[in-house]
Amino acid sequence: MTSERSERTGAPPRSLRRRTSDRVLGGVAGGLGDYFNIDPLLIRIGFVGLMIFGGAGLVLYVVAWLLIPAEGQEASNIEGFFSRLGLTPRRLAWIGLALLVIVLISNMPVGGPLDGSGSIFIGPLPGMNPGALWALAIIVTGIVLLRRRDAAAAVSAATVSAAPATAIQVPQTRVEVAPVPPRPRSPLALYVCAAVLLSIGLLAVVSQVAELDVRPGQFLGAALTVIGIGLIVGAWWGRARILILLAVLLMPLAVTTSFITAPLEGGIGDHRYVPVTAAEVQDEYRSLAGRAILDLTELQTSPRTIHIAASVAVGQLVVILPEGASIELRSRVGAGDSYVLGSGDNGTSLDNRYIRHHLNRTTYVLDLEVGIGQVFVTNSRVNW
Amino acid sequence: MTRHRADLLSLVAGLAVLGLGLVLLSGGVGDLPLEWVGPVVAIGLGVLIVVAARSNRTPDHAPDDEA
Repeated sequence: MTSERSERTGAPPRSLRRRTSDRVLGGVAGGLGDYFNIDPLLIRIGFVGLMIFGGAGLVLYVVAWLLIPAEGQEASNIEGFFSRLGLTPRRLAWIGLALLVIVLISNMPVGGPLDGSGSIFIGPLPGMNPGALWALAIIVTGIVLLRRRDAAAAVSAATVSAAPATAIQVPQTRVEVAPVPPRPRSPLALYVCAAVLLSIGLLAVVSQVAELDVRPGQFLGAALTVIGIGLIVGAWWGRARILILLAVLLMPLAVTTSFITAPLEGGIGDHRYVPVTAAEVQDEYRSLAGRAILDLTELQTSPRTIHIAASVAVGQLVVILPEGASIELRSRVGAGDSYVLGSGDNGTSLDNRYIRHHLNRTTYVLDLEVGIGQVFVTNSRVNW
Repeated sequence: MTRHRADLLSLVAGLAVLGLGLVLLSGGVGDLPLEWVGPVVAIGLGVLIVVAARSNRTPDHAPDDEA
């Protein structure tokens, strides 16, 4: 409708563009101000306000920066990024399909029923190591990025070398001024993206081979380290400010996952375990995300010692113990809360121990761990 | 890649990201108290905004890829 109205009035159609001058950061607020004909300062205040109260401002700003083209350009940053990678919608669909296949043949939980009957797992194929498969996929992606960049550079060079020959064939009857070719974009950002994938993949391979316990936060820490090096290089050579955006997007995820120290095992969803006999008690109860409730109040057994290790990577772990039971408990929480029989604690890297002994009672030796979330140990089934 | 004049924004951001990456890579972030994370992020963002605003005053040296 805007263009129709413009045709009638003769005015050029107004389009939403980011400012490339007179801006503070990415020109988003300035562009929105120009489009809606309001003071960009008000929009900046809105972004900062949303940033402080909940963080939505940062997300909105980044999304707008990705989607709104800059002045004088037709394609947005996200379109340009995929275009520079040679990723057409068709190729993106193939990549998505390949990732789906990897997920399906990996030992990755894809969900589970809420009745506590366990999670649904697909795979792995016999003899296949899922971690090695992911590492290989990441490394191959990094190599493909490098090769695609080299191919694009070769095509660009060939085009430039062919240009003078074409110019000779232009008839002399008309003099045309050739447009100034755009300044070539720096390949540094692409190289850094490839290096990020390669470093993550190699770290995964090393952790598999050497059986090292590398946590998710450390993988993302490696990625941020490579991005940081790339930015420092770009301060003098090549330039790649777009990496700042990538780092800002990765930072919250990296910091959050760094608190996940619990094993990344088990399914996703809510699970309730109520063993009745000693034979039904498992040595380990693992959950990737959600709420796991271990109710031991129904357990009928003669006095003995029962060892249980339970963990939830992200979520809640609830253990309900019978009244008067002997307990030797260790509760670890990466970030969150720990409530053990009436006493609570919250913060990061919580490591609480609790010991209580009664004569002629079953002793529960519990090793409880939650990455991000809460541990509750109680004698009451109320609320659970 | 050609050499150009120093880009202060990339340098400051790179040092900050490199520092955080090394802390996370070493697995030491769990020892950091959460109450420090907010102020540190706020200060870092403030420094970046100041550096970005200063670098925008010199359009002659604008980078190839703008963030």
